[in-house]
This record gives sequence, C-alpha cells and structure tokens, in this order.
Amino acid sequence: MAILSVRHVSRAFEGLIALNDVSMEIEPQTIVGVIGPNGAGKTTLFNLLTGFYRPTSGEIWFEDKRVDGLPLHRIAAAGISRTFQNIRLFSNMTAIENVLVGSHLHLSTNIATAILRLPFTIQQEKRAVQSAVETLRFVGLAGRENELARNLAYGEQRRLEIARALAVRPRLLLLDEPTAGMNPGESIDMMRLIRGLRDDLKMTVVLIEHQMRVVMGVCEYITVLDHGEKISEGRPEDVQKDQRVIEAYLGTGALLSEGAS
Amino acid sequence: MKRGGSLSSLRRALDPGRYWSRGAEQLRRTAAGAAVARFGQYAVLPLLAIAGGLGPSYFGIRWTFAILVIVMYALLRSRSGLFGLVVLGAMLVYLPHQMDTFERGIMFDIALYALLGIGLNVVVGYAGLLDLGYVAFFASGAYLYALISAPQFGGGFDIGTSFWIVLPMAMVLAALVGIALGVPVLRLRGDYLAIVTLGFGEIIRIMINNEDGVTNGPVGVFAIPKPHFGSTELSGPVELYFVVLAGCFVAAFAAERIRDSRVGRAWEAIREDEDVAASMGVNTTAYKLMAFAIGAAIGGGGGVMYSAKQSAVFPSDFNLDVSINVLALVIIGGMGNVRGVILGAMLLIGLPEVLRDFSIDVAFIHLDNLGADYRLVIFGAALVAVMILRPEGLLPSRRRAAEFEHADALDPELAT
Amino acid sequence: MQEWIQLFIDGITIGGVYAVIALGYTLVYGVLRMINFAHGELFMMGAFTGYYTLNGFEKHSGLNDSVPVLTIAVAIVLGMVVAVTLALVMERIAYRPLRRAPRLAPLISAIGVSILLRNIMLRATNAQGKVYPQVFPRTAIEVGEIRLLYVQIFLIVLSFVFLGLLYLFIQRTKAGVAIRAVAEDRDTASLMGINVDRTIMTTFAAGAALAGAAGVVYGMFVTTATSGMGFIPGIKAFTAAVLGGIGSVPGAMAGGYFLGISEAISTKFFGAQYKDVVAFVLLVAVLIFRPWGLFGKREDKRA
Repeated sequence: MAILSVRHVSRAFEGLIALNDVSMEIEPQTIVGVIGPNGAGKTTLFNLLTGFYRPTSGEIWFEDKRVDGLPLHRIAAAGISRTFQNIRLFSNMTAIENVLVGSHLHLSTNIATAILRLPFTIQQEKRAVQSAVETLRFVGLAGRENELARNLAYGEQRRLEIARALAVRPRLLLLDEPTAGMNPGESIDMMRLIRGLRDDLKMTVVLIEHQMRVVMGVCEYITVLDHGEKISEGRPEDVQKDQRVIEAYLGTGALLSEGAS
Repeated sequence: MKRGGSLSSLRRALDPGRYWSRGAEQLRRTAAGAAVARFGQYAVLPLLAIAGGLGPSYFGIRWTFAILVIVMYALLRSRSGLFGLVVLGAMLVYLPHQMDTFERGIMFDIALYALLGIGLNVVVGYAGLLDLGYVAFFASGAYLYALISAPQFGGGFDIGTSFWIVLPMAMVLAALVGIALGVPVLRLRGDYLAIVTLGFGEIIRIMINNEDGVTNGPVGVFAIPKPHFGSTELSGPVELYFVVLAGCFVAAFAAERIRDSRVGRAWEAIREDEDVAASMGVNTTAYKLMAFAIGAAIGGGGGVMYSAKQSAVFPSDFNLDVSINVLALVIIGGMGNVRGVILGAMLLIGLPEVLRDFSIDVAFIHLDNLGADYRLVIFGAALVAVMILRPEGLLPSRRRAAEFEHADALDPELAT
Repeated sequence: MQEWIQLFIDGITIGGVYAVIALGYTLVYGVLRMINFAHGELFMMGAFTGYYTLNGFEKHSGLNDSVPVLTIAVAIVLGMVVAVTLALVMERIAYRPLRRAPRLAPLISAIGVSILLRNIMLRATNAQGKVYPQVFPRTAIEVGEIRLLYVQIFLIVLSFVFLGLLYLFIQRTKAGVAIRAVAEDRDTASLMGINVDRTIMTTFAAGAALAGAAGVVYGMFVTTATSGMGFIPGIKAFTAAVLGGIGSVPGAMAGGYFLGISEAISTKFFGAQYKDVVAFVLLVAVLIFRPWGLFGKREDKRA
C-alpha cells in the first residue's frame, strides 16, 4: 500500500509546462530518489507535494487522504515535511529555537495558557526542549543548541534543517539536495543519517539529488525526470542502464562511472 | 567583522553603550569604583527619590525629567535591566505627586502612549506586521465607552461600575475590529500592509466623523463620566494615570509572557520566513490574526481610559498622527521589547513637552518654542536619523539587535 | 447627462494629476521595491515653488501681466528643479544607506521624510495657505451646466503631455532602458555594465520632475498651496499605481485616470465627504482580489 500516490500531476506556469502528467507510487519506509538534469522539474514536484504550488491537474494522495491544494500547515499536520534547496532556516533564531518551531504542532500553548503559564504548560515546554535536544543530537549537532542558525557551518545548517523537519514528526520527509555543496566525507555522513531516518525513525524519505554516488548508495528506488516528464523509474542498477536516462544526462560517462562505486 | 565607511564610524561613535561600558570598566577597576558597583545599585533608588523630590525645586521639573530619562536609559541598558525597571517603576509612581496639573496631564499622555506602544509592539515588534492604522483600535475603545456611558446616549448603566465592565467589553470589541481589519491584509507584505492599514485607520475616522446618527459626528461625545474604584471617584489625571500605569504593567506582563511561549516563537518564525513557518505547521493566518487581536485589545483598553480622562471625545482626536506617534515610539525606542517602548514614550511624548519653551539662538538661527512648534519637524528628522544610524532603536531586544547587525554584515560598504 | 459630463471632466482633471504622481511611485517601486512615502511631498513642494515664483514675479515686476506664458513656464521649470533636487537629496541621505536594511527601515525613513517636509512647510508658512497670484486667466468655457476652466484644460493637457513624454523616455531612451533593466533584475543589470546608483537617481529625478510640475499647475488650478496638500493625493496616487499594477508605467497612468473618475462619480452617490474613502476601498479591494493590478502579471511567488 503506497504511502504517497502522485496521480497524473501536471503543473504549468503561464505557458511553461514544468511538470507533465507525472505519476509515482512510493512505498512506506523506503528511500526514494528523484533525479534528472537541471530544470527537469524536481523541485517543482517537491513544491507540489508540500503545498507550495497547486497542481494544474492531477491529484496527490498521502495515506488515504488527498493533499494537493491543502494549505501549507495542513500538509505538515498530515505528516509531510521538507528541507529546501537553498537552505531556509530561521537565521536569527538559535538552532534549538528552529527545531522548537518544527515541534509547533505537537504543543498546545495558546494565548491564555501562555499568559497564565500553568505547571502543565511549563512541563510541556520542558519536554519539547528535551525532545529538541535529542533531535539535534540525532543529526549530529549536540552542543550547538544555542548557536544562531546563521552562525553555523554550512554542513551544520543542512543538518539543522533536517532536525527542524524531523521535529514535525513527519511520516514522509522530503529532502531537497541534502548533500549540495558537501565534500565526499560530509556526503557519507549525510548518507548515514538518511539511512538512520528510515531504519531508526521508520520514516519514508524522498530525496532530490545530483550526486550519483549518494543516489546509488542510499536509494532503493529512483524516479527520473526530464523536461517535466518521468522518463524512467526502478531500482538504481536498472535505471543506471536505461538508455533514455543516459541520453537525458548526455554526459554518458558520468552516469556509468560515478554509479559504479 | 570590520565595517568601513564614514557612516559606520559615525554610528559607532554615537552608540552610548560603548561609552557606558568603557567608562564603567575603568571605574570598576578602582577600589572605590568596585564598591560603588557592588553596593551602589541599592543606593540609587533612594538617591533618585531624593533627586526627584529636590530636583524640581532646584532645577525645575523639566530638567529633572530630562536628566532622569538619561539616567534611566543608562540603567536599562545594563545587564540588570530588571533593576532599571524597578527604578523606573518607583520613579513613575513617585513623580506625579510633585507636579502641577499640566504636568500631570503629560504624565498621563506618556503612560497612555506607552500602553498603546506595548500593544502596537505586539503587532509590529513580535509578529512583524507593519500597522499604520493602530488608531482605529484606540478609537473603537474610546467611542464604545463614550457612547455607552455618556448621558445623551446610553447612561442606562450604573455609571459608577460601567467603566470596569466596559473596559473588557471594549477590549473584546477592539479585538474583533482587529481581526476584521486583519483578514483582508493577511496576504500583504510590508509596504502594502502599511498603506492599507493606514487607509483603514483613516476610513474609521471618516466614518466616525460622518455617521452622525451613531456617533454624533464631528461634534463629539460629551459628559463622559469618570470611573469609580470602590467608593472613590477617579476624577483627576493622576488617579487615571495610575489606572493606565496598572494597565501598562498588565499588558507588558501578558505580552512578554506570550512572546516567550510557543505563540511568540510562531510569530518570530513568521517574521523570519512566513512560508517556511507554515510548512512547519504554523497556521500563519491564525497567528497573524492573533497578533492583530491582542494588539487591538490593548489599544481598545487604552481608548477607554482616554475617554474617561477626557470627558469628551471627537473624531479629530483619532487621526493618523496618533498612529504615527505610536509607531515612532515603538521603533525609536526599540522594537520587540517593552523597555524600549517605555523609553520611546518618555522621549517622544515627554521630551517635547519638557522642551516646550526651549529656544535655539545660534549665529543666525533663531528658533523659539522648539518643543511646541518644531516638534514634528524634529520628529521627522529623528525618524530618518534613527533609521540610518540605529535602525534597531535605542533599546532593542537582543534578538532585534542581532537581526540588524546581520543586515549590516551583508553590506560592508554602507556609505557609498 | 450634463452632470455626468461635468463629473467626467472633473474626474480626468484630478485623474491626470494622480496619474502623474503615480508614475513617480511606480518607477521608484520598480527599481527599489520600495514605496517612497514622501513622494506626495514633492508634489506639494512643487506647488509652493510655483507660488513663490509667481508671487515673486508679481511683487517685483510686471512680468505676470506682460508675459504670463514666460512666468508660468519659469514657475513650472523651477518647480521641477526644486522637486528633483529634493528627491535626489532624499535618495542620497534617507534611502541609499538603507538599501540592504530590513524592509521596515526605508519605509520608516520615508515616513520620517514626509513628516519632516510637511512640517517644515507648515512652520515656514505659519500654517496658512499661500494664495497664488492670478496669472492664468480664471475664465472658463461654459456649455449649459458644464463648466470647464481654461486652467483646468491646461492641467489636463499638461498631464497628458508629461505622461507621454515619460512614456517615450522610458521606452526610447538609453536611460529609460536602464531603468527598466534595473527594475527587472538589479544584479544582472549591474553585471551588464549599468551604473545602478545613477539609474536609481535618474528614476527619482524623473518621477520628481513630473510631480513637481504637476504641483505647480495644480496649485494654479486650486489657487492655494498648503503644507498638507501632497499627503492625501500621494496616498491616492499610490493607490492608482497599485490599481494599474505597481511597477507598470502604463498601469500607473490608467490607474490614475480610473481613480480620478471613480472618485468623481462616487460623489454623486455617496456625497463629497466619502470621496477619500473611495480610494482606500479600491486599494483594499484590488490588493485582496487582484493584487497584481489591471496590467500586472500574476505572481506565484511562494517557493
């Protein structure tokens, strides 16, 4: 039973068709990769899945509920969360504050209880902080809780974004180029983290990636987009050999040589 | 992080915090200085009380006031900001007894504007929504009390208790107005939001002015009764001043508690990046409306107190200048925190009155009655100056100071 | 029927003024993404310059009587000069240092400039309006119940001319291209070799020149210059710019006339006292239902 079902989704912008009749089924607790040359529509797909855009046509179903067209916060409430291609942290807030915003849905403080600050509220806040510290530890940011987000190193910022997305307690996590700008060592750490998300936290992860080594190493299933259309999908080994995919990338050597490791 | 350019040097030179901490450092090194630092804080309170008592006779109330504001500023900047607040509190409670009626009226105005500032601070400072029409909420509260209690309209209530009943009513009404005004502007960004809210403020004033049937139009509403507290009638500006002061404490307390909770975090996230906040589960619509509602409720409460003090209200009392005054004191005082608002109120409302007769007679420049006549000119210049030299305000919250520092860092060459 | 024609005439009179002022807003917004809150004050300063010029001529020479065309022309030119100078000073001191600051800062600064200018003139005139000497003959064409002052015709025609000139400027000149480029994408324009600072200054100057000239002629039309006369028209002109699509030059023009006529017509149904409300209501309506205005592009700017 697929956890995410993308059914014939299209998205057009004033004549430019960014996505054309794309369909996908994603199984729970898997790591799925979405790849394709630049401009293929990958981030557009993510934006559709997370509510930043509405599809021009088609439907998106998550866990038996239709989610396309829902307001952003409802999609988070449904259990979908994401990171961004160009890191969008709350730069002037600390790391732990960023994560606490992620846990917004799981707290119940409102205006009245905030003013009164009853023991229940204080307890809840304490537990939220503890949980946030735990999450930061999980992504490898232990000890950096009170740093301003903008003062963190690049790799740390990427991990913080993931921590924040995790605090939402999603069942589907969308990572947009999580290893962008990272060196091989950092990429390996990230790959380990992503596997941990599936194995320890029982999450379904979909990622957009350009680094083939990461895609081949971590994804169980890949969907390939090109010019807004799905041109291939399947297990990494199979996609790697697919003629259409190779042509789409044009750099045939790149796909064959990188994927091998 | 090095910053170049003459503008930055000027900015740094004008930062009082620098001198204070440098001077304080040097003082602390001496034995006497160390003693003063350790115990001095306990002596300041009685010293200030004495100064407040004697000062007026020796230096005149106006200079005393001006000096106290400066000392206050230095104190509030110190790490023990709480201590500064206590001193402030003592001062505010003590001073009015030294003043004559006219000056008491000014203290009332300062306190009222401070209250309004606390309310607007929730909207602008916490949630980041630039509201130029805040006067609309103030007017709602004022007119509700006026119309309910003035003999020519309502007056059916037992006049003595009506104030304390109408006060929460007015706050609720104002909150509803806030939500009503907030709904259309939800999708608007900074500049647009400002203009539209300005428009709303004006629309409300024009409507009050023209709907003679309901509000008695430009003629205004008269004979608004004074509130009672137990058996005493709160008739003078001083008694009502204490009501406003109490309101300030309550509002400030509530506002800061909210800011330090999940709600405040949500507001901050919305300020930082609204769409991302929403994708993390924050219902941005609801939270923005919440900010409007709370800010409006406080404004409405202030309106009721204003009506009570004035005894008569007119549509012309609720013009754009009020909105701009409140906004200016929030911004110049320091956004995002209550101390800044209070300082802003004292500076922008109090100082011009204090310097009412002040004259400049330098070379060929001869200007009389600086405070009275040139007040708005200086106001406008001050707004520009503050934005250029210290956009975070005089007493920003630590968060805001960090935000503005960040903005500077993006552009090392600010003075081209 | 005649009433409608009169309303229409009054509408395009004030509409032309709104359009001219709106251009200043839309141009500055295009290049800086900022609303120059003080733009209306440039209009007001133009009006005062016109007053002082014509008054000067009146007091110290007979030129107003002998060569009114010359004196009026001089007044208009001086109005433009003063407005442009003010605008450039404004840009340099109050806006340029804030280009990278958080959004709030330039807006507050602009509000400060607006307050400053209005109150300086308030003090300078001692809160009294200054009445123009009558240079333009105050005669009118009268057809039945319709009254059209000659000076009104002058205002209408001049507005048109200025709008046309500005349009040509934006479309056909090198400076105009630069302005459009910077409005489109500042960084790329700069990479292409366009001097962004100078282009921004030109933008301010162009808008200011128009506002200043409009101020002079409008002052002649209403015969009085007051310190507050630029404020509300400024806000309405901004509304007009938004109506037409902020950032769009033809939009600002269309918006101006549309607003002027709407206002005029509204007086028939709601009375004169609600005239100002019309602009605000239209503004809110546009921003809610069609924020990109009549001529703007739909923007889906979330992600």
